[in-house]
Amino acid sequence: MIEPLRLSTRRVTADAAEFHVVELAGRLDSANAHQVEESILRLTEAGSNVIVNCADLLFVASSGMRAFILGARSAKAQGRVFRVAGLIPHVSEVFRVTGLYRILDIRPTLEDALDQPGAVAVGS
Amino acid sequence: MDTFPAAPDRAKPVSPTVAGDQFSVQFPARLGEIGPLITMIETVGRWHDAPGAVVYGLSVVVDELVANVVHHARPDPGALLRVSVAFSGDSVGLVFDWPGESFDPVSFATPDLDGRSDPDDVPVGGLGLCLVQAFAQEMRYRRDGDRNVVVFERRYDRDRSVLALPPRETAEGALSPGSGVQ
Repeated sequence: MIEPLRLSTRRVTADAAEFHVVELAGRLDSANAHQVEESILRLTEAGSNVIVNCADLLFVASSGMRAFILGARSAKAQGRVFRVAGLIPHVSEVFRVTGLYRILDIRPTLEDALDQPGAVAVGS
Repeated sequence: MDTFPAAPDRAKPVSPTVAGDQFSVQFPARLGEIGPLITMIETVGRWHDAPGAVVYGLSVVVDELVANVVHHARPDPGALLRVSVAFSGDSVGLVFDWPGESFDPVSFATPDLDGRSDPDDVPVGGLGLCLVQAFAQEMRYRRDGDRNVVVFERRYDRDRSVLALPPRETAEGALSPGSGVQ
């Protein structure tokens, strides 16, 4: 059974750039998507580089993808990066069907998301 | 599949019922019901040895439909929504119905993201129906007395490990490695 949503955030520094990693696990459905949206926007609007790690996210509905789109928009407006990492196959398929994988910056793993260039050092 | 027991009184949630291969449950129109509904669909899917991808797709459909009704339709006050699921061979049917003003979620336009690559250009509405339409090989709406009825059908291949939905984009190489898309 897919567990209810679990959400946590942590700060990670890689190559002089600071990221806030939003860890999502369980089921991101229409009943809890607003929590994720609020957490992501709180970080992006504060000017953070954000990575959403979905390695343990087992279900996502369109309301969850809305949170990702709004996060990407907000980060772009702030001149920061917004990346999605670690999609499992079923979740990845949902992103493919909607066409969002071409619009969001999606990396295979969290490590890839941290390694890749492009992040702006917070405070610069 | 496109039949179900008569609706009960509109008072409180009704326990799930199973008749033959059909599972049916009724519940109030609120988002908090989505989690328990998905759990029940997972259970029924296991009973029928349905592939995980099919159960996932059904769960997406149910989430999107309930959210659509809660946010956009006008169900009768105190009305119960009803989901009936039936597996038969390598196909599954789902009937979703509720009493209230006429509301056809099938008729809504879905966003066309082809050629778009900027999040500022992406509409945040309509993605759910896009998913529902992708999952359902057959999807239709009808008005039945005072009830709205949406019917979905999908056949599946037990050997496929992922949803294998119709692609919006053929450049599968753009997906992340290990995404499992076939």
